[in-house]
Amino acid sequence: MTKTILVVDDSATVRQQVRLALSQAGFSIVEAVDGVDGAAKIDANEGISCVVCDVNMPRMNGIEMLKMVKAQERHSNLPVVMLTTEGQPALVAAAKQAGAKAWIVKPFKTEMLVAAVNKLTS
Amino acid sequence: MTEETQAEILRDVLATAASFVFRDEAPRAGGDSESMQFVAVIGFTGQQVRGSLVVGASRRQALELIGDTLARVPTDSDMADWVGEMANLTLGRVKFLLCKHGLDLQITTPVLLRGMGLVWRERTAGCHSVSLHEGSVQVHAWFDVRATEPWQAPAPEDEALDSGDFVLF
Repeated sequence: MTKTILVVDDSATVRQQVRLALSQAGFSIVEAVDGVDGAAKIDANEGISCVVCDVNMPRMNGIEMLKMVKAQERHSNLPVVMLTTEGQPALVAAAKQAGAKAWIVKPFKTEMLVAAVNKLTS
Repeated sequence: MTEETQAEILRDVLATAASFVFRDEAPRAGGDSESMQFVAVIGFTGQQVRGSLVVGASRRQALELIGDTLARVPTDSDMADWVGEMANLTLGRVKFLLCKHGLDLQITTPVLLRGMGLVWRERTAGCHSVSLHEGSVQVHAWFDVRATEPWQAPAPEDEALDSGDFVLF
């Protein structure tokens, strides 16, 4: 069965890059444009197997979205990969504490992202 | 730390950061660097510095930069978005490099502008700029920084993650 990945990023070109990489690896993709949209899509799609999420986004950033989603019991096991230009130790620690499963700093290698998503959805 | 040293560090940081995102190759003749059509502006602030990063490219430059990355013909929105992402990557790199000097920056999301014949006008003498070439493509980045006080060069934080780093928790 095809697994569905939610890609949350305010950049349409980054979403397209991630979509290409993951769809070629056999995943189905749902997109969201910011944290508010991402949280809504997670609530609306029970079949999401993993979330790939940017940090700096308008309306609601990725860490805030992560905290909001993880606060709900039914999403507590949903793996979230942060994909961002940020690498500050404090932010990485905040994401880890909030329940993120991986942190990748852009620009990213396609095979690295696919490996991370494969591992977290297996 | 003297103002000259600060300026030297900032120039070096911008050149290094932008070179990381855009390959710095010798330009060919016929570059169209004067008129920008896509511009991305990202603001930043920190305890001791604040300012903005501006990255600009013409339509032709943006098209060449995107190449076949999207596996489809890029629209104007794609080109503006891509220039924004280049600015985002450049400032992410700037942030990483400044972290080594103990400076932490908070950054905004990019503001994207699209227009005809856009020209950057430097607001202050403290603006650092680089012009980078990737084949016939020339991209400009301006780093307009004001130091709100002399840098105290505090002890650097724990090592920040660098571009391409991958951590599984």
